[in-house]
Amino acid sequence: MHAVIDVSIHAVFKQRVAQHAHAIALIDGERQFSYATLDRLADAQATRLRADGVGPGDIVALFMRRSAEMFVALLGILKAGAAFMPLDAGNPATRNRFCLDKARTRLIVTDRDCEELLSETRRAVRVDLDAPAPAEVAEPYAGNGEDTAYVMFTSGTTSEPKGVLVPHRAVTRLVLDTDYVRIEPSDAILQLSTPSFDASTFEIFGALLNGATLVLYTGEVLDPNLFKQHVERHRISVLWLTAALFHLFVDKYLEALRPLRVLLAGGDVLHPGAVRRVLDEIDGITLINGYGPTENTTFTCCHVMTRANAPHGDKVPIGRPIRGTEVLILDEQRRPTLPGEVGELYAAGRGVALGYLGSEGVEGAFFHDSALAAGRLYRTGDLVRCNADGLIEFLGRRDSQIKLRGYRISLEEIKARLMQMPAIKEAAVTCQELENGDQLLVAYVRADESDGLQSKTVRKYLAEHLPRYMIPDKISIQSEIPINQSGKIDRNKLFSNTHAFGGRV
Amino acid sequence: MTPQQIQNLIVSLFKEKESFKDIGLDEDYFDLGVSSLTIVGLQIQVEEQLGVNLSTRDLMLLSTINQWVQAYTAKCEELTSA
Repeated sequence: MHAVIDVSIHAVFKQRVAQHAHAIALIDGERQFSYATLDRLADAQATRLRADGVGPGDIVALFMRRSAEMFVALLGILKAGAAFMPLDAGNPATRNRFCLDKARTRLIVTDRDCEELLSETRRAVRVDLDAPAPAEVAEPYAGNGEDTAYVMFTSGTTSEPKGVLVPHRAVTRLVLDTDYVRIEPSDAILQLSTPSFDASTFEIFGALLNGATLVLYTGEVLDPNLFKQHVERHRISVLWLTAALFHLFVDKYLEALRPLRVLLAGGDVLHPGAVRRVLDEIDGITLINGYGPTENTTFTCCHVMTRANAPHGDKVPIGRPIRGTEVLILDEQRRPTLPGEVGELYAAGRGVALGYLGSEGVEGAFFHDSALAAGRLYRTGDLVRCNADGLIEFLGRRDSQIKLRGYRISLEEIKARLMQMPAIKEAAVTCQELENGDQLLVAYVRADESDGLQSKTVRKYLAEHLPRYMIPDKISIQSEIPINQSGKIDRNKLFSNTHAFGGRV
Repeated sequence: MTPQQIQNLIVSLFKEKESFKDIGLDEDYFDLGVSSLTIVGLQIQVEEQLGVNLSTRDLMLLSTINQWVQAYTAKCEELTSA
């Protein structure tokens, strides 16, 4: 049935190197790397990493800008038998240190100064592609599908982020022999996502494990002109966009998407009007609504659309589970729901992660129940239902987590952090939908006027502790936050107040 | 376009947004709440009309409408004098 089940990512990569040695694997600005060259550089890097003491079971941090060096390091880490852990330079040092400590990382591969992340037991190394190859290049560690390939942190329900341990087999199941997309060696995929965000798994391995070309986006921020240049110049054919960016481009910059063969979008609810517009206006394009938590490796369900099956209702379904993944829609007693009934989505199959860092073996969101599935299950926390066409629709979260610009974030975590500022008496965090489909993350805090608390002080404090995507777009400081009769913050009143304020802090 | 026309264009595009409808030309829009995608959206609209491009990275460093007017006016002048 499925050819690849228990081999490592780098073993599959090696097969592609043998098949497509001279094809372009990676483009970084003016630099191009064939499969053979990338493999040779990665083997040399793996040898150096092993000389640095890296081996199976280790977690090596990647603290680099998107570059050929980063991908040589990433492949080198896998070939050395270790897992990579991308760190976001946009995160405050305290958060990155938390992740490094949690993963007991001894080595950071970096291209920048990161003194503040180092310790007695943790050092940094750099990648030099021009360095002479080691005299003897070590044979890559064979590994298997159950080894950890990478660790990515997601927002927890508590104030601590959780590191998800993703095995090799979860990645191969995402990009090989799939039923939602076919990636050919002639395809070029843009690496636009932040590497610490798991949509990058699809981009990176979707290209490198299928003999296609991975094109690195060279900008530091999303720049529409630069984006369009990349797409045109490198003939990008397969692209992932988070929902917010998808809506922006469809609304204002559709021509930039015209050259694509396959466009995947998701991470948040897609507007059916925007989906219909893409399918109407771009001949022959396939649009895929991709859904899934990091814990079940990038995509759990996908809905594949062409002009022939454009969404007709007021929702764009998330479709069906991808091959290698099974899903269950269960009620609160973990009993199957009837078709059409709302339930919580559970995932099983090869995409399920090994667990959270530091809580391996703990039954929580990951658990066994042989009555439900053969292997481990993951409870997503997402409410869904199956529509009349047999397609799954996403309805919302079970808890206070939200999806914002592709990131799953916990409003409680932001609130908990705000409450740690002595001047703040009370706090509420909400996410407001804007007229253009984008969202605005807004924090309301109550402080005594005599304290003279300013929004920039609050912003600065948050920036020291939270990743950039969790910093509210707007911080409203008020001397009073309306409380309703049950003692909870009255969100309706809060919004009407803001309106009267004209939004001014 | 004259600097006045550039200013009118940028002001009108900003004021189309609900959160900016009463914004002053020298008012810091970050105080009113703005996401980076809003900036990118405004950039696309401004550049579609003006036919010149600035880098988003540079635009992210600005914080008032007047700074946008100056930046785009300078870019237009640079292109006409070249």
